[in-house]
Amino acid sequence: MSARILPVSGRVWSWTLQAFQPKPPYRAPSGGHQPYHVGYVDLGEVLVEARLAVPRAQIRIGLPVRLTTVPAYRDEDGTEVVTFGFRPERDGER
Amino acid sequence: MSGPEDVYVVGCGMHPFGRDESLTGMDMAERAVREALADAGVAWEDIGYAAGGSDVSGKPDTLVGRLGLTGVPFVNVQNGCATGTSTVLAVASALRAGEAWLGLAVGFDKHERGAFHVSAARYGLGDWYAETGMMLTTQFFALKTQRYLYEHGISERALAMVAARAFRNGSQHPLAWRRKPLTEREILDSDEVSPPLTQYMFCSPGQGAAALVLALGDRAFDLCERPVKLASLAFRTRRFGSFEVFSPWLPPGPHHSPSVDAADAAFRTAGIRPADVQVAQLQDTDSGSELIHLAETGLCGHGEQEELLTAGATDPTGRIPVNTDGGCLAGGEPVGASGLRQFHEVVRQLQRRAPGAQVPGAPRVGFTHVYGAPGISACSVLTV
Repeated sequence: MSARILPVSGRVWSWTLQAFQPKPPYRAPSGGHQPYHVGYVDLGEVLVEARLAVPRAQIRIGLPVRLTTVPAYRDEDGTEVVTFGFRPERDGER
Repeated sequence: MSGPEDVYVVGCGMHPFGRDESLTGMDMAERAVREALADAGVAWEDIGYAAGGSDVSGKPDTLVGRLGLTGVPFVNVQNGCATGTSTVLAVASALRAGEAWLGLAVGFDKHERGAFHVSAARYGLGDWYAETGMMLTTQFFALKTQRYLYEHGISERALAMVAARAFRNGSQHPLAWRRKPLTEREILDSDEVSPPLTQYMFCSPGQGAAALVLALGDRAFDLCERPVKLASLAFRTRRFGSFEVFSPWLPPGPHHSPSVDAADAAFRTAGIRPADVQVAQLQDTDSGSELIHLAETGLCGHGEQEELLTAGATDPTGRIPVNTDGGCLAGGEPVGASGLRQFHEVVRQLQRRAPGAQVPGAPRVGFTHVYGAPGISACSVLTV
């Protein structure tokens, strides 16, 4: 297997909301579980599953999005752990 | 009519699905087996080959301690949502291979409440996938359904129609768990779990057991007034490009489901077209899954589902009755028992002994379909 650089922007291919708090090993963020969006982002050659930092009013299949980080949980030593996600692409970013 | 290699269902038994904290999964399995044996008019000592399946409720072969220490070969199966169907496959293959002429298939389970708890390592994934909140079967069903509705121009109301029909059928079925009919509005307005799916569009892990007695060749007709022929049974795993649960990435598509392969093989082997099916059981882990499976199995075209539902075509009195016992939505899903519940219902429909709503006009061709994680499907054609 070799590393392959994927584009940082794509379009929402499908989306949903995680309304209820998942059972462990899910780790809620330090402020407690808040419903979050997840989806697949079409990066052209591959669809990547990711957290979507997109408000409900804006979320739709086809929405242009860009790579970002989202807070995941606080580690035992206090480190704020982030994970990858996508946010709406702003005008002129592409 | 019958060939020496043909396998028939000659007896069925089922412990009602639902929740009963006073019983273990094994208790329910024993009852289902005894009922199936009595239905076939045979004794446990007559069984020459057995297979049993359970996901979480014990080693099925230990049932011999309750049923009788006859020395019978007993294969244990753990095959996700296809567990029950795999027990039928194991027994039918053994009968055809000459191991015995009479066999038994049993499936049971008793799950804890709430969404299934899964381990990332068991699926070959890193812990991060579950820790960051992406490893949920409910998300997968929602993501797949969301995309499917978009691609085929189907409304969310169609999802509510599937669930409403399931609960309507369940309300008439003495073995179902959810026995209260719900309106489309109540289903759409229930708690949002993962849009477009709401609480009542999902089945719940539950408990139950079901068993079948299978016989080889003409002797089936000595045991049973109306034996049901296992015209075909096909099991398939996924190929590259299928859209499956717990996929951190997917190829761009088009996505090809193992359900398509399993259904196609089952129909080809049986020499029966999807249009000939008069009663069908489809995996309805959620409303969206049933919609998708209707088309993947060839029972209708992609995008035709909403029209069929609106016209009542999938009702017991319609052209292609689906999940006449309420399916997983009304029955819950005890993983090991679910596939055998489907056989139980279709067999009873074809024998004109349906415990719930009977499909009118003496149906002769039935179909069962299960689909599970990560990318397995099994389909059968049953005939009288």
